[in-house]
Amino acid sequence: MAISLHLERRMGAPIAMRIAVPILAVAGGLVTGAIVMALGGHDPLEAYNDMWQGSLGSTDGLQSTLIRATPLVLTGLAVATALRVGLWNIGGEGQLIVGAIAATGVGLYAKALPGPALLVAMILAGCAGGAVWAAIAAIPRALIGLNEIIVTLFMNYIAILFMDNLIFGPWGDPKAFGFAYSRALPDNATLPLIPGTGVHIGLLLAVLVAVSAWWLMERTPWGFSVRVAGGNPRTAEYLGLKIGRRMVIVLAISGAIAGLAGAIELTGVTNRLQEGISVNYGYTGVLIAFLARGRLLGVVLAAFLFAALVVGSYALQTTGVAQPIATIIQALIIVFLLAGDAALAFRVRFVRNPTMPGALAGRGL
Amino acid sequence: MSFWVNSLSAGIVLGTPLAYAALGELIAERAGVMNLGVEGMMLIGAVVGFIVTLSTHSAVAGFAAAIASGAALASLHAVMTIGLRVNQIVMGLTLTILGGGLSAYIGTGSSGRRPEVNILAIPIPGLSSIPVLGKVLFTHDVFAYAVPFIALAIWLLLYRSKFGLWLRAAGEQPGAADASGVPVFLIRYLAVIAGGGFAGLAGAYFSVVYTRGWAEGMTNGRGWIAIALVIFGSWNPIAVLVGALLFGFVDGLNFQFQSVGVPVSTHLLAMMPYVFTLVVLVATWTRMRHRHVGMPEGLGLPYEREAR
Amino acid sequence: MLTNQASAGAAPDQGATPDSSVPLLDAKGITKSFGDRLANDHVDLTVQAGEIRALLGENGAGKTTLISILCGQYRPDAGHVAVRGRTLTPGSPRAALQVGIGVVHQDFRLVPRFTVTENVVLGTRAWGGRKADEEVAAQARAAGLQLDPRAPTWALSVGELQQLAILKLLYRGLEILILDEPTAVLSPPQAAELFKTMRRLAAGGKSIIFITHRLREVSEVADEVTILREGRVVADRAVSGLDHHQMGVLMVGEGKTGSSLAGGAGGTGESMLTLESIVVEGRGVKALDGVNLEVRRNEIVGVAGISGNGQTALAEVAAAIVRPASGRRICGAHAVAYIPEDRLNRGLVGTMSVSDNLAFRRYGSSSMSHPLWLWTNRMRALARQLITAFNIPTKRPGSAVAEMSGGGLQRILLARELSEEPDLIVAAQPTRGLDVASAAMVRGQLARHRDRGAGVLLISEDLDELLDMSDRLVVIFKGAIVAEYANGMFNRTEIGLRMGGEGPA
Repeated sequence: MAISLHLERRMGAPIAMRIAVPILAVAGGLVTGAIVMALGGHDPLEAYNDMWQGSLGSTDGLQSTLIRATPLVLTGLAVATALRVGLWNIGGEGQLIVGAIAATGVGLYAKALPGPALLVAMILAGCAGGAVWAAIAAIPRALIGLNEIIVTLFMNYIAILFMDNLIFGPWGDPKAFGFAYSRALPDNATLPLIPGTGVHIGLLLAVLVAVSAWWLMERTPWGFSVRVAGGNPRTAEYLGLKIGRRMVIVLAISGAIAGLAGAIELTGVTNRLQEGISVNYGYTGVLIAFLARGRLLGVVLAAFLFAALVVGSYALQTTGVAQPIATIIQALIIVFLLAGDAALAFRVRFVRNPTMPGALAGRGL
Repeated sequence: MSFWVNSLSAGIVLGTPLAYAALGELIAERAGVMNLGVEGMMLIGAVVGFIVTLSTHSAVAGFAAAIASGAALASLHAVMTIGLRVNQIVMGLTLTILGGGLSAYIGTGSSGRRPEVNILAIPIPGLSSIPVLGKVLFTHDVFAYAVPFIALAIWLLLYRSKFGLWLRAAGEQPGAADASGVPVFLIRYLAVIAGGGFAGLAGAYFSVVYTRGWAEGMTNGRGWIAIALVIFGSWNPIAVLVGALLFGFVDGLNFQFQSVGVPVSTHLLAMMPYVFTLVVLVATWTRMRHRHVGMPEGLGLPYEREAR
Repeated sequence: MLTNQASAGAAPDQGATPDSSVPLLDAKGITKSFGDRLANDHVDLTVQAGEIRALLGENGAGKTTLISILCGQYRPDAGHVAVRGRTLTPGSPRAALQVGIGVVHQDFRLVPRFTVTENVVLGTRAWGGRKADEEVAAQARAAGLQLDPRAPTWALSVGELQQLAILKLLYRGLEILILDEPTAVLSPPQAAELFKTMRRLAAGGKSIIFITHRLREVSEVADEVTILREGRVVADRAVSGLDHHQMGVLMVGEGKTGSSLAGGAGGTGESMLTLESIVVEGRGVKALDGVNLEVRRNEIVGVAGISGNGQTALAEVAAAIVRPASGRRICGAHAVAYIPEDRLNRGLVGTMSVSDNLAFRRYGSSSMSHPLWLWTNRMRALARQLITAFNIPTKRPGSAVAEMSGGGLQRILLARELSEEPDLIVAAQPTRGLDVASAAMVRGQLARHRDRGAGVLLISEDLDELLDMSDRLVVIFKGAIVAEYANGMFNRTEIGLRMGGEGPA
């Protein structure tokens, strides 16, 4: 007798389970993070307390968290928006960078424009840059079915090199001595702060974009048609919907959102085009969209959580826990979430097999 | 002249880890599993290899540990994507981020230290004295020398062995393979774990051989290049090796130009392989599908036996 | 049992005489359900060496499930399979192969990128190469098959693919060969060749089980026949004692003639759909080969036939999803409703909610939305209305459609399509797999709309249903309409024979 494990598909899981999974995943990530800390001989409770103080438990921390959350909200939105039409946009990194490049271009060459107009032009340029960058991946996908994951991955790398070319070349800061940043942008190319706070208005823009994306996808007939096309292309074809067109438009919108993130980081945080303008924002956006279960408004929450983890980790001095613990916890949350999703989809069964003597059974696990 | 010699030599040094990582990914993808976590596995290999080499004064131990750590991370990918059928893209990206975080975490405090160890550099007696070619081809370490043989071995494995046939079948048509008695799941597990081991090795090469130091995020996106190389080489080990050397060469030129102060845009140059690959992909994608070459048909899709 | 290919190349006359004391294959009590659908109900199957057994039945009778269990792809809920007296490990393709069972599936299960040799040796100790090429070539010659071992599989024709699949089984020395509807993709001369091969193999000691629904084939090549109906074995005997009439009756069951739901005003109204000489290409053979059909107002035209005779193509051409290679489709209807047989994959979006799916035809209209705003409350109101009217079993209209049962999915489809008051309804297998209440509802709805003035094209594998509901009945076989009956002239037995390919009695 041999006993083996089999996975059987469930026919839908109860709502309670589905709500529990993301919450349990976050808990699992935090607990496992604590174990990692403890293994290194540190005190997890003290560490988490420090992280809390540094991110949400103090005004400074909260402001830093909100600033850090802004690009994450946008890159998360970019991924979630593309998912509506059934595409994986993992080119957020590149689209963000191209958005920043476009905004920098406007900032450096159109600096004669009056303050607010310059800013608006830069932000629009950022959106346009990201949109074009994404469309380059969308069009082959729509026309010949070329896998958009491959193309967007390549475009990420091309974007980084493109930026490097500019900041080590024509846009470089002559006083930089080989450091990787461009000339400074004019003073009026800085995002104003939300009155009474230390947070730039980019945050408001991000929330506005989130609401707009939600409105477009969930509350307009066109958005409805996009979701049908993304949900089942064959049904969409039968209903007469043009799928290719929707793919390109939605991916362009997705790229525009990521490009906006680049423009905001440029004008609100760094004030120069530089290496490290994006700290894996694009890729983290995929994780955030996943944690938010693809829900556009949920992205805001998930981005906030991830931002809090990172900002909090910068406050970890006394306990000796290294800052990268934040990324570890973020990744662990997603691992638990994936496992949780599998638990929702499958049921585990133990089965007894009569084994023929000498026969090798092919296992199905 | 020495400029070119240095460039070509650097090309081989830089291309070697790219080749290892890409060959590992090729094995996994040929079996049907996409592993986007290569960058994370390389980083883990880099930090583990470095630390173990430092403490044991043995590069062999370091590399062994690096391979094991890459394989360990890859086995998580394997269990999740093959066993639990989770989305391969999200899982791979997550592992890249996890590997990056873990390596930075483990590696804090290790930057600035240098291993005093023989990095297994073996100038080949006699051959290394040949002017130009000697410096370029015959004064490298064991891994660089081994890489063309390994690529060849993988080619032989894939196209001239039973295991390779089974692996390719698992990647193209897992249903057909399963019906023929091929242990699809087992093969996929082995392929993914092996791929992780290769990535770990590649990472350790960077920290122990190339820079002889550790810095956070030191692989700098080369894991992504490795994934791109598999596509660039159309899933063929020899083409992937050539591609790796090419990318390595361009990478090496970059540094050389900078150190010499030549005002050539090395970044534009570095872009060329990517742009070129994209153009080729667009031009041949449809024909590739019809002529049945290139991407394994089952790549990225989890396999379930009782799917209805 | 991976025997050396040498023995498989033995001259055909040296066959072993069937040893009737221990059957080669003995399956007992095989039972398998999918959800609440019982596909196999305590099925017994016994095959001797050197025997050709036909497995006959309509679709849904459980034939494919049974062979999937025999080859190890599915595990049965109950029952076991024994080969030469030893029990087979269930759910393992490897174990089935080791014990000598091999299947040629309808989709062949080959790797297109491999050469012929590579596909043949896949799973054995060989990997390919010149020696294997030669062995494969010799094996093919001995079996009378024409295949070039170096040819890439993607370049082969459908008939050649089938030969390759068979060669695979022979190379491995498998003794029990199962063929699933092998003649579906073959022309008559190719089918004759296949039968010659089958006889040769059986004479050499192999056992062959082949699935078919064509009665002529059973009498032409089979020694024994097992007839399945609704998951159960209804007959298991020698072919020589049965004539086609008896086989047909066993396959479709005895039954009534005439109808109860039929009898609308009758097809004298205007034509809603006319199909003239429709030809649709398929895999290897034509899916539709010169179909002429008309559907008028106030009538239900039933299309009887065993699955695989062109029904899907007919439904798709009728609903204008597919353009025919030649012929004309003239449609006089303003609104056409299509109830596809693959409900979830072709008519719905599984990840979207019930109320969303119900709105697919209306969401763009001014009653539901403005270009800038979708009135979800109106969508929900419509959904609630339809849920009540059609009794859709869902507690929350917001839950995803993918979780619903077959009956629920069909109610959603009907609710959405029929509430548009269509003039032409194309319904493909509308009650397949449904619970009794849902099936009754579907039929009631179709009849109601027929009375309302629509023309209905009802394609179904349930002969009783067609007899009950049709005003006119046609039979489709091998892509053509081979018979037509007006109401009152339905003869169940004769129709069953026509479904199996028999000419007028």
